[in-house]
Amino acid sequence: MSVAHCGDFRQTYQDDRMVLRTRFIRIAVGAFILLLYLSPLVASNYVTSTMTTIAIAVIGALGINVVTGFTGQISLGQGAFMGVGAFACSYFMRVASMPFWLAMPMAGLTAAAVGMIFGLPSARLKGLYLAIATLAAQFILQYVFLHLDAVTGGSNGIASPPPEFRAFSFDGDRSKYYLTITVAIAAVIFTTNLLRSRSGRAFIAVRDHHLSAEIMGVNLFKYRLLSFSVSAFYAGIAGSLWGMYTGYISAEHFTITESINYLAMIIIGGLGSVLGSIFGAIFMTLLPQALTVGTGALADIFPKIGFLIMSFKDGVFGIIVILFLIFEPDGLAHRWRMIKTYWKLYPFSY
Amino acid sequence: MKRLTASIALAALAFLAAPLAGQEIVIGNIADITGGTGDVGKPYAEGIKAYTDYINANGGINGKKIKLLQQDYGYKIPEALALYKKFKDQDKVVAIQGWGSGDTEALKEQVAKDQIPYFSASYSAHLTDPSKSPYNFFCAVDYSTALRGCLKYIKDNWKEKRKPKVAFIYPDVGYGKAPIPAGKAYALELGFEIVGEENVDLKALEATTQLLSLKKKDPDFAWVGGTKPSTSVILKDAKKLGLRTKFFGNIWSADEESPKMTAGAEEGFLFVVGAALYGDKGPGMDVIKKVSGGQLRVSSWIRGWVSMMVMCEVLKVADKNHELTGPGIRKYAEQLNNLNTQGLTAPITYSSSDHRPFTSVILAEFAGGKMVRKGTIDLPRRADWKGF
Amino acid sequence: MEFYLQLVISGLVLGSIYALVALGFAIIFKSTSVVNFAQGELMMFGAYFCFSMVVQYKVPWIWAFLITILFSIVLALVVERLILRPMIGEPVISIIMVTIGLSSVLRSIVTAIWGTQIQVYDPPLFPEATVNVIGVPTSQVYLWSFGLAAVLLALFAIFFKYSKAGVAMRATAFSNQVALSMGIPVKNIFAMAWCIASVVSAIGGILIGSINGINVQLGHFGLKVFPAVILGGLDSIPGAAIGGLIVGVLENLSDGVLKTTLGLSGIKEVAPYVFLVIILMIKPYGLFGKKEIERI
Repeated sequence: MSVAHCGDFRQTYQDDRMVLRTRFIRIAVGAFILLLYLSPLVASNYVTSTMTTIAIAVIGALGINVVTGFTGQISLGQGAFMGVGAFACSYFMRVASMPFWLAMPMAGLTAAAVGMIFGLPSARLKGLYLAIATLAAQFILQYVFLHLDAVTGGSNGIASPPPEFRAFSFDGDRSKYYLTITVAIAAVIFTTNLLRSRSGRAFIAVRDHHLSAEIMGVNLFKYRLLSFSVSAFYAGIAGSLWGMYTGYISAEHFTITESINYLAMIIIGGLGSVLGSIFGAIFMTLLPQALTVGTGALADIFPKIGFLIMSFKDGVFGIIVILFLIFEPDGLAHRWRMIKTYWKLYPFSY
Repeated sequence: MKRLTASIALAALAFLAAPLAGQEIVIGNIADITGGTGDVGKPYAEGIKAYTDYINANGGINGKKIKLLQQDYGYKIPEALALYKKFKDQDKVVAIQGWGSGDTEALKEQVAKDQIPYFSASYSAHLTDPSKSPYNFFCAVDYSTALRGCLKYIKDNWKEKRKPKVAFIYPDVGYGKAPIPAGKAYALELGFEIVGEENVDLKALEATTQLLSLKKKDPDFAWVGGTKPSTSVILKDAKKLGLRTKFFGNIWSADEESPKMTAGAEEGFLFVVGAALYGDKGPGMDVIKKVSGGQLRVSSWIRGWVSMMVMCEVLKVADKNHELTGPGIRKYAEQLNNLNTQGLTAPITYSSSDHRPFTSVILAEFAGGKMVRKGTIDLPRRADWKGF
Repeated sequence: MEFYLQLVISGLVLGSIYALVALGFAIIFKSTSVVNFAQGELMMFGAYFCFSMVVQYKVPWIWAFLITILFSIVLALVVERLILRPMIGEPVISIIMVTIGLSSVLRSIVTAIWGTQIQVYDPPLFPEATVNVIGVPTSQVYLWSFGLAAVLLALFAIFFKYSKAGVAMRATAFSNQVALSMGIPVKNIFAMAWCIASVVSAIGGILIGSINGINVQLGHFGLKVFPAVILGGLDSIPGAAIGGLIVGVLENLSDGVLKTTLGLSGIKEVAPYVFLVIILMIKPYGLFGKKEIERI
């Protein structure tokens, strides 16, 4: 049973290309996926719906990791792109009568197109200027959501019909969970392969040293734009799933708070790693829930200062984020790798 | 070892905090304490809690105690959704006290599907149509009827021969836009001349541009459909710019604390009052005075108290008939006929085709920094006004 | 015509408040390369502290003002030491996240201490009487903030160009290592930058609080800073102030003009961002920012 091979000895190209290297890892991953699919049978509806939100967050986090972690462009518009996907999916299903399995990718492509438009400034802007241009995208898109009454229902929001397959309607907690977790797993596989492909390597080259990348023939503008659209595509898919999950979407679901949330996910999870996106999504979704339960329990014990405790919820959240960044700046993925290395070499330290 | 005992202790505490099945009625409360509307959201939540404590100390619901789970969602809609899921699946609440348009609109389809009655502090008229939102209730006059009541009061007191000119100022969000079509239709019906429409954002610091363009049109009256901060900005800037317009506003536009912010500009501002004001006469107010120890309670606090009171009355009836479930509570809520809220509001009547609690609008005006009751406009319960 | 002039005037005076907050932001960025998402919350904390001095402890205004300035210096030092010092050398995105976390913490502390009610300065700082500026009645608060912004702008321009500390700050922003090797105490420079920005923000907070009361939501002002600072160019302090003025005028003009001509309601809040994107396409480093020249 080995987590990784000792040394680097590969004899065939197939060995070199494999993502899950050893048999132990393959069995572990397979068992985990099996566990994910079996969990709704034993877990309560609340746990299942929480896991659905985590799966949606994973997809969004993967998206923003592509543009910020791999290509190095800070994006503050992820929430708005999710909104584009959600409204587009609802529009396609209601007005164009498309089935969900067609509407969702179309919504993703719509979001990708919008992402490409807002990625155009990346031709001339760098660093923080680009980040603020994406912030502008967030606010402009939110304004559009509020006023494009025909598509988004304006300030009232609009219903998002549940997906239907022949006679079966996906409107129970469990069916929604299975749909989202399948899409999430597909997204993880896609992202892992994206990184190993030519485009993925180009993204990383653009992030690490864009001058050298340009010299080597990587078209900077093309790959920057591509990373924006890819991340917006992910956001569009996540948004469609979110619309399906809540059944009713409005402009208030896709605010700057959401965008900052996604950014926090990948920073805490680990920039530039698929595992980091997953960890970050789990952490940032569960932390507010844990705080809710915690403050609720504390308020039960000390009812007189119940409201005081509630005002601390936000602060505790901020403190945990700060502590995380100070003590684990490379994120949860890094910590996970350290733990794995420790156990791999136990009882030796090197 | 220490950590282990600490975690065991915490788990034991959490276990003790879990509701004892059967002896308690679990009600969820999605409140805004720290978010954008926290200045009125916190008193509302405090009012709900105060009434819960009061009724638990005075016999409960036919002997059963209410377990109120209050959580702050900070006006972040995804958190409201997560809280709703928690209340529904984990805490198994039978009914929910909600808050504003954000959470109520986001959850209205789900509460209808999951059959959980939702009492909100969002008084949008479209929630009163049970064919669209069967499980939504609220205990104050809805925004559209409030606007109509103000218009009628103004028209009744209009002595000149020409048509009065009216303008509408509201924020560009659902809450602000909701009553405007109804208000415009009724204004035309009453014989007003609509001269202008402006948007003032809820977070605005000044409204000079909007008021300058309104000044050109010279309205006699202007509706202000915002919240306390934006209304105070409009009133102060209007006074500064010398507008002769008389402003009138909705339930959330002013309360006892407004004169502090407007420092005199609120003089003559007409607004709707949702429930009795602290210090009024009546058995309900006596209870409130006792519970609050003689300290002032703002109008949003009193509205929270009333909302919980109405819910408890329904719970009592539902419990007596052994139907303490979501659909059961809805059924008995819709059987409420002229429920007496101890003088705090007009008598409340719901029915299976109409969730409007009442259609009388209580108006007050600011005079000398104090809220002075101006009268009550009783509007007919017109069918074409339901849900509009 | 007179209508548009009035719009411009009221836009300028509103923009002067944006300019004040933007100044604080730009000082921190210029000296430490830290993007401070907590600028609005620093402002709010200063405003609330002054409120507690004036209303709760009934301290006369001049003393309350000075004590607030002292308090904001202490707050800045604490924040810098505890939170920013460990983050030296981390990528810029982590520092952004830390300031976002800091803004949550500050908001939560304010809510816990002072509650969520809207508070008002009583006795008010400025008398109610308005002054007529080219036909537009303006509150005195705006005139003071305009004057203050202009004075501070001039002060900081001189400070950064001619004084020893100012030049040291610019050197630190350019390269920490080179500054260290020249003997500049970089940590002290960081602390000083944060103190100055915190004081400027507190003053801005008091001024904004005088307009319509203090609320926890005051922190959202911090987001308005971004279009202003980027318009002016991140590296330029005068640019930040001018950017603030432009944003103010733009908001008013777009509200007055675009609403009637294009029928777009509520465009007031979004217009600065649209304008920002357009300007950035023409001038990618803002109006006054330093251009980074890269030639391969």
